[in-house]
Amino acid sequence: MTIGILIMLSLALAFIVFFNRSQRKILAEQMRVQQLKLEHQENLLYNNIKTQEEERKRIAKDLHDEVGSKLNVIHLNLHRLKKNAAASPVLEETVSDIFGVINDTIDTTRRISHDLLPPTLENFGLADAIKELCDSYQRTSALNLQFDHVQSEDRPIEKMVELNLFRIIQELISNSIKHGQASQINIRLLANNKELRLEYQDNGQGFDPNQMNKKTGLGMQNIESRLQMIQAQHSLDSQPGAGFSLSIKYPYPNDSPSLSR
Amino acid sequence: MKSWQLLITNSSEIMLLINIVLSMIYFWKNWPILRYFCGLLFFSLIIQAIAKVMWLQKMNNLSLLHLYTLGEFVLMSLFYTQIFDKNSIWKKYLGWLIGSVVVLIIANSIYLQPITVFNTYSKTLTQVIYIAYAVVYFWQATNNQPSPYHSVLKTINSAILLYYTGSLFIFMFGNVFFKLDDFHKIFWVANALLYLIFQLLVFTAIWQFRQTKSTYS
Repeated sequence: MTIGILIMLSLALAFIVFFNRSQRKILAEQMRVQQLKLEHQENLLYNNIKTQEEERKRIAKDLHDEVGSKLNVIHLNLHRLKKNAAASPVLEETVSDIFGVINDTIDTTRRISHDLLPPTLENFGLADAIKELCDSYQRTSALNLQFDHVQSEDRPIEKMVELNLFRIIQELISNSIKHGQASQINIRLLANNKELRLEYQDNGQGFDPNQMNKKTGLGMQNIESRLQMIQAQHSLDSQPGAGFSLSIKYPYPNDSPSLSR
Repeated sequence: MKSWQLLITNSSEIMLLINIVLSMIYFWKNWPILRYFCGLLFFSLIIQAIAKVMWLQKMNNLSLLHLYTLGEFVLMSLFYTQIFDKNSIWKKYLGWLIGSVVVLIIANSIYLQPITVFNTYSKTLTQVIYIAYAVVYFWQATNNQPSPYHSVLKTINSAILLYYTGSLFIFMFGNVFFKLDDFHKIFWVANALLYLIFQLLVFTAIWQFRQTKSTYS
């Protein structure tokens, strides 16, 4: 009898141990699959952003080099035509109209091309590009944008990092206007020998970060993906009615050279 | 009864009392699916208290075992109805199983083993069913994504599996033990020891619930 009880108990114990082991194995496998899925999704997102940027660059270049230059040729030819059209008032008026349209088209093409890939970012770097972006918003809206750039050390940053940080700022400003109805935005760019800090703050409606709606959520997801892509850390702070703030810290890679003397 | 035997028997009863108080505090309000299990613990305490009083009065308390077997089976089955997978075949036919076994237990007490003798048939049948419940739960848990409170149910299930597997033979041959004079006491002490382990595991489950709750809240 005692042996029977002991055998039964041993069987039960063995079953429990077996169950625990198998479940641990299954869990580890599930975690591995989950991790792979996550990595795959991240890769997809990174590739998506990368392709988007490459496409933007290509379109901006085509607009500038192909469409822009051809519009300039039309513009020059119109000048020549205008000189010869002085005799006919109807022709002169038509040429003037075409001039108006061509000038608008050139401006629009330039604006689209600049929006797609700001030449300031390419040629002068992140700080100047943000400043230009702030100026353009301030010119066209009642928004008050304050940009401070504090630089204790000048270190070159990868173009890809600059572009991503710039896109993040674009997205944040757009969110502050569209969703937050902010009237004041403060941006600070601080650079020292170790890291680059970007601080963004608005006085908009704010939101509960735990209950982001789908639209805002997607924008934030995009920002987070870009931050992950450049391996930057961030902290977000927002409350309904209390504005929004985001702090980004980009530590320079160890092999990045310092330009300070 | 020797002092160590008394110690084991009394410890299991004290642990049962502690677990009832703790499970009422932690499980009853916060986790409704464990209400039937809390009910089972409470039901055990009441039956044990009455059985002790009857034993002190030198009365035959075996009738209580018949009542306990029935109540225990209903509460245990309802508890498993709560924790089994919604779509599992077990859950679909559990109602029929409970109804049929309840009829068998009552029929056994009326026709085969009257309330003055040990109801070994009913006890064996119900214990085999509890072991099956526990095995099915473990099997289902292996195929499912674990929930935050999964470890709590796993510990309770382990307690059920260990106790009922260990005590299966004790109850199966209960009537034989009664004829063995002093020798049968050893088996009842073994049962009390298994019950103490059961209660200690339930205590662990309550502790796990408390820890998980503070992590997730």
